[in-house]
Amino acid sequence: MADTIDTNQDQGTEDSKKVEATADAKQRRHRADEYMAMIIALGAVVILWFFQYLGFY
Amino acid sequence: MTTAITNGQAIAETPTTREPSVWSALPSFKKSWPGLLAMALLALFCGLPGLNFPLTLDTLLHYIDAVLPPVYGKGFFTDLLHMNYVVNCLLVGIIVRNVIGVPNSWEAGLTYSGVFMNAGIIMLGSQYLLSDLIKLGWVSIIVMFFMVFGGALIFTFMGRLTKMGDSMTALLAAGFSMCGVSACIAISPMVRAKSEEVAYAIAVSVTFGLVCLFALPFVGHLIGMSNDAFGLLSAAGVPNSNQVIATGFNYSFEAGRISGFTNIGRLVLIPGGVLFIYFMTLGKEIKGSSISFWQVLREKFPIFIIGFAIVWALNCMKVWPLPASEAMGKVMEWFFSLSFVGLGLLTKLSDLRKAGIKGIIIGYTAGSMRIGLCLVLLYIIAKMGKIVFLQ
Repeated sequence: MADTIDTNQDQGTEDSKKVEATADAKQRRHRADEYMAMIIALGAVVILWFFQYLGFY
Repeated sequence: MTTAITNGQAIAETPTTREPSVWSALPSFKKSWPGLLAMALLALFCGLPGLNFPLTLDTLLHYIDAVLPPVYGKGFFTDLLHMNYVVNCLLVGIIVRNVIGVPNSWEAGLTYSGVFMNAGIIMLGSQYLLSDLIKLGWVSIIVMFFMVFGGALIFTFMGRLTKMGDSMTALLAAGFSMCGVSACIAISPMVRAKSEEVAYAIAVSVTFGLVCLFALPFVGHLIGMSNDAFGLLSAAGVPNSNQVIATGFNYSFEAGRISGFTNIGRLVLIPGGVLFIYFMTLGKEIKGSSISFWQVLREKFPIFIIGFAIVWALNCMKVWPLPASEAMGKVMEWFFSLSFVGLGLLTKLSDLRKAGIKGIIIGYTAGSMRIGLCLVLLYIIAKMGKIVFLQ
């Protein structure tokens, strides 16, 4: 009985560690996506602005 | 590992825990290019706005509508089914994923669809002026405030009514009231959710958003909702940010513009919403908890909104003239097209089975209640003369 409870607790801890690790990885990816998007979008804005300055349209 | 050297001899090796770099979370270009190329080619095939490429699905549908006799005096695909670049991109993506199948080599590149969505939202700033903030700013903040916190209350009530369990209730409340998948994952360690509960909540919110994406524009056209009202409804009622923008643009360009703008309000409310849901569902357990408001704000605040604010401020100051602003609008739609194709390619219809009948009933009922609440709220705001409800 006590062994079963211990095993269940171990599995529970293992699972919450897995969930925490997934959330951490997702959080880092989310931030990386945001930085990447800022670089791409602000880069595109500057390029289009420059094209306009050069008289392309 | 660090090595201490004394008198030329290594005497100890002590492991140090270094925070992994944010950039290490992104898959490399070598791994990602097949998926990125697939997204670009499929988006081109669906018909990129403003690009006169003749061999597209959009051109084909217009041609079929011109050849076939009109239905109720309208073109079947373009006027009645409203098949625009948003629907085309999504449908092609969903069909490729679920009928033909997606090679493993595409998977890493497809995860960049979120980057294109964020880039599109930042460039959306070039389509707003100060008058938009004056016209819809307060209305959108009020609507989003009610829908984020009111939605969380609805889900908490439903969860208690159906004895769903605190962690599952919190996951569904976060998924539906804020931004779907990201919110579910963000709140999961705080509410000590099990991995299968997280997968289940994500499946319910994603499939509900998918149904909204096609059903809401249909209902909106049926009622004859104005672009302002529909933009606000899609931002408040649809769970995932990507699906919010897709639903808005599926209705009309103007509704997409409004939904993108209003969605910014929801993104800003994420840290507050996460804490609210945490306290609502685990209120009795928080005495010994170490959750800090500033930590949640620092971790969950969507910083790409700063990019949106920069572009919007420059546009308000008329730093660039109209042609450049129009070109930015087109590039924004290209980013969204790439993102919609990616969204379609990442949509697994088998998730509907994963969500299960109980999840579908609870999630969909509460989600529909939120949409109903939002319609009532918009109607009241329209009666006050702040927005136009019907066209």
